[in-house]
Amino acid sequence: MKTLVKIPRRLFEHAKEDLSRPHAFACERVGFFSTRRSVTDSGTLVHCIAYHAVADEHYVEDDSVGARIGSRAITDAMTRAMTDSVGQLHVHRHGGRGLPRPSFTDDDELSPLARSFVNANRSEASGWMILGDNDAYTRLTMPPHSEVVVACPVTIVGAPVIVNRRNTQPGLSGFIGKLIGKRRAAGNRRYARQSFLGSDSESIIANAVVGIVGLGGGGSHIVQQLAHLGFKRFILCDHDRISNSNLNRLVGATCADVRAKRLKADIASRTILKLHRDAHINAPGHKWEDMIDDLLTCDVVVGCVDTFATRRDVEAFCRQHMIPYVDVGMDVHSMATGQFEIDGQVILSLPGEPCMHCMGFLNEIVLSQEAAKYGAAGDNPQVVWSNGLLCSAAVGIVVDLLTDWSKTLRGPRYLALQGRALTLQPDKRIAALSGHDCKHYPLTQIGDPLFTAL
Amino acid sequence: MALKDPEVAELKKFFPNLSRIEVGENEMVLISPLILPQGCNPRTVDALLCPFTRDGYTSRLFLSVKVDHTGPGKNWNADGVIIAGRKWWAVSWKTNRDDLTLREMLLTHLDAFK
Amino acid sequence: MAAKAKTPAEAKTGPGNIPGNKKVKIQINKVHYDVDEGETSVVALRALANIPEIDVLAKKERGTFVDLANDATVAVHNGDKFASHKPATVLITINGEEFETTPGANTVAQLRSLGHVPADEILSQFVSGQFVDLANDATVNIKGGEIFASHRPTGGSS
Repeated sequence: MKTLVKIPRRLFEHAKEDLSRPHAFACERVGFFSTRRSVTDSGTLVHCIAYHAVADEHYVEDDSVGARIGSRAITDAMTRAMTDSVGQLHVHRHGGRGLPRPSFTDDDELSPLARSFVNANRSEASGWMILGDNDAYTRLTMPPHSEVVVACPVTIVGAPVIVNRRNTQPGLSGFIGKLIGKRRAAGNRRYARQSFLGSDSESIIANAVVGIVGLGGGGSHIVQQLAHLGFKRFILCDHDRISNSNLNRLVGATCADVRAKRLKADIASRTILKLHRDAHINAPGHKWEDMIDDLLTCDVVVGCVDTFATRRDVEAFCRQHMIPYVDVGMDVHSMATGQFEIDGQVILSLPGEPCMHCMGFLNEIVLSQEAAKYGAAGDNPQVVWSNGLLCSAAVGIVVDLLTDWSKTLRGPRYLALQGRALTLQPDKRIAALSGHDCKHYPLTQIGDPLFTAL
Repeated sequence: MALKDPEVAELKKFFPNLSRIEVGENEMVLISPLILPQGCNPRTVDALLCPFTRDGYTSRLFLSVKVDHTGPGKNWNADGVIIAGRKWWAVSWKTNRDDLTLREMLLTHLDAFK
Repeated sequence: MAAKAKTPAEAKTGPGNIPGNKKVKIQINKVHYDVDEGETSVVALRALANIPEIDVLAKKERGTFVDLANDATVAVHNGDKFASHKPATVLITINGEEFETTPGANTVAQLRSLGHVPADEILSQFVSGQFVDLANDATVNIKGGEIFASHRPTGGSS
């Protein structure tokens, strides 16, 4: 993974809008992103967690450059770095599609300027950034040894997710690489029927990294469908082994698997490998809690877990590291009439947007009721067709999130299943949450946990 | 809910190595290290005190290790849960009061290990 | 609401004090304290005796006081004696690195030289929650723990 920059879409759009405003004498505007890191064995995520505009009066008039900021703007950024324990990225806008490139002025002036922010706080990544329409050029000074990282991949996290990977294959960079990729894709008829997902969709899907937590009745559907769609990079989390009672719904499982007491992770891997011999699958048969570093590399995580507490914890993890999270689940309960109803949900939880607590799906009542039943949970009723309905919707959300084929997915989703009527409809609460700021997972708490001495 | 300064000061007198972490609108307290009552193995652990309602408990004490001990708290119903990027373990132990100071809360939770 | 009255034991009981653990008597700056026997952190002992941040805590061993590092732990036995004293130099931070300097008046030129601040950068001090630029001919009263950082005077982009 090395170094990856993540920017919440809401923040990215806000920054672009602010940087597009005119100034009395400067030709362009400047702002700052505050940053926090998530550090793993395989690399570092640098999260942009807040945007700060530079006040008009803090510019210095200079016709030789697009914009020049003065000492006050610089010390304000240094103060933020110190008091908020964040890094600072000087940011301005070049506009246009693709990866922006720095000007001579940017190269000359901004790296020495960035040292000022490092001087104030050496524990977080600082530097400078140039925004394009859907990508950003970055030059970062990384702790602990002030390594300089140039033009690292940038992901804009929201609906849709834009994953700007940097092609490292020699001879296949940029436009030429894309052209060759498209010609290869044109020759591959396997995905001809899903070309409506976009001309880049096959490459987006093949390179996306998807984490799936829980590989039972729900997760097995997700794995199967994603594999058919062309997803090839998986982080699969489940330590459980299949049992006879799973066979009514665990897609891809066989009686032989039950006799062999096979790991659900192995069954899921087998499903994928039957379609993609070149798939990259990380499925050691571990719980998600033991695969944290691997999950940090995911572009999206899908949770198909059994308990509200686990949902809460997986969402919390995904929020902390700016990973979109799709939650799927179902339950059967008896009604006052004595008959049964199937309830279920597909929820898309995005950084900076309403979470499952905001939506009311998770709350202290259900969590405490669940905790009170600990040790006496019994077998939750589960059936394959309602799992299939819910998981298909979840897969649709994942694909739309990554390809933006529908041009309609622009925020969180909460779809509620009514099993008897076989309907899957938006929960009414989601519309009421438009523009709502999530207090459960504020952007300022993103990154590795920050303990402050008392 | 933010930690109350007088309660933090009281706790700090007896357990000086304190840090706080924000969890949404609430705060938890990290005690590192915490020396557990005699009979615990290991005795020195990190502890995370959650002074707000979570999973039906008015407060909880999470430990960095699932310790062996001879106290009455035997039901480890938080088993390697991830909070603030680390794994934690906790026994089921209700304080049955929501008016305890942080120090009283911690000592009440430590009763589970005596 | 009136504060609960402390017993003599509570008033001077030590760090990590868990009722039921064995207690020993120690002295810090000639004041007696009851603490748990065994390993304890220097931070805990400092907090117990309200020792100022810049002072150094030392333990008497074989008739001589030996300075204790703040991040150390120390074995505590009955009758142990501790005392604190002012340091000869104090630590300040310049551009994220710690430097020793004598407490009292330090010129900005001295601080710039100490911290190897480039000539074309401005030195600023973190005061009351804000970095404030220091004039090159100014003097700063150093007590220890002050934070300084330098920066470019302006920044251009195009």
